[in-house]
Amino acid sequence: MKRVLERVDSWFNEPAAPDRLGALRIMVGLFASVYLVLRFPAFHALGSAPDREFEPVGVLWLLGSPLPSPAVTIGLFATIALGVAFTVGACFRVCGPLFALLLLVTTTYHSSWGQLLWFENLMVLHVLILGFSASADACAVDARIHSAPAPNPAYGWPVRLAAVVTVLTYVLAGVAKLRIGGLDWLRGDTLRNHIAYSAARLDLLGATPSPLARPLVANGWMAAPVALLVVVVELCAPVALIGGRIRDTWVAIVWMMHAATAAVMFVVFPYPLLLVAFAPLYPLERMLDRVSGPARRMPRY
Amino acid sequence: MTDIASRRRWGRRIVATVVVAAVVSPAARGSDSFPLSTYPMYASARNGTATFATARGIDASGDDRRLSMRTIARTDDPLIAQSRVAEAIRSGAAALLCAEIAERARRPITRVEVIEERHDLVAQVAGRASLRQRTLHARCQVGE
Repeated sequence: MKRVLERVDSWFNEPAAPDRLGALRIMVGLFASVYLVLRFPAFHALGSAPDREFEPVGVLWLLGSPLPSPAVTIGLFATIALGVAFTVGACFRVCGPLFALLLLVTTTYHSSWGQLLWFENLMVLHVLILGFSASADACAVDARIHSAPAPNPAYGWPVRLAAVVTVLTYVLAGVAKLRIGGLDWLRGDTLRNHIAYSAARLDLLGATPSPLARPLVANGWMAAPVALLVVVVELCAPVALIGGRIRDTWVAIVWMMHAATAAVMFVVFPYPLLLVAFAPLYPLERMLDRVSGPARRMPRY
Repeated sequence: MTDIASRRRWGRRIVATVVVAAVVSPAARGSDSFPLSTYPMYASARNGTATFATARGIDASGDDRRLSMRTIARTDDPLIAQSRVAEAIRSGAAALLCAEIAERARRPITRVEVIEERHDLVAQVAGRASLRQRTLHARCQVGE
């Protein structure tokens, strides 16, 4: 047991180039900022939503009533502006933590209207990890005035922690299926009914369901192997931390699961679909080298 | 290892342990929230029939007219739309919601009903007769 803990500890504290953390900050920050801009109308509409629908959750659980409309608007603009500063790594000691906290509040507010929105969880957790770490020591506006720092555990552990959080969310999803749905979930009927439910809900709420839903529901026998695969892949998520081909295979299967969910149920999880959720599992600095060459590693003064 | 390096290493261990404990804590507590969640998407047991909270439009000749998700619940997200209608019914605000939908609805719709419908899911998706039960919660007229 002691040896296992030592190995985990040394994996976790392995020195990494600051570029790895910086590249992850850019990817996550860019995604979060663009997401806020694209979803601006949905977030902004909360400023005029009826009070009766307000059910505060998470860090806002003490909030007795909805925020005034101008506060929602100002908060949104501030979050987006800080998101840009976070992404480019400007004034990061202030903007990093502030963006993380404001994004937490903004997305929590978004989930405080009777429906938790699970596709925002992982993005927020990653931004919190990156916002409170030294992730603007490279690939950042702030880094232009410093020489490139040497590899250090301080640049490796936030990435590793983000990777652990990514795989844990999938393990939790697998555990939830077995805990709530029981072993019956593996028989496939539940999955087929969920697909049918999503299609029927779209239809009854005035939208158009996916044309793929009907053949899939009609051929119910396909659901059992898919259900088994889903649970196994989710519960085995920690294998992605091993790296190499095992990681690549796991990421490819999970990505296909999300792509299938989007195609069949029109339920889109953009964070994993655009692969940002899986970025902490990869040595991003090598990708940067391929893009911009070794000149990027020259000391900067 | 220097004292500072050792202290930093312990700091990282503590932060990592706290973060991991926080992320898995909803599963131990069995309560879902944001951003710490049990991730229960599609986990619930679901049988072949289900009840949907929604709204329908009716024209002057009594025929059904499709309402858009935006008209029903001011959103393009079915999860949010369903939740808004269900919450209005649960909290006794169906009439209020009906009036709001009627304000957004346009001719030829003359009436709006906030309803719950129970459907056979497979039949509904296949385009066969699927309605098992309909409960009317509120009805209102669309203004000129």
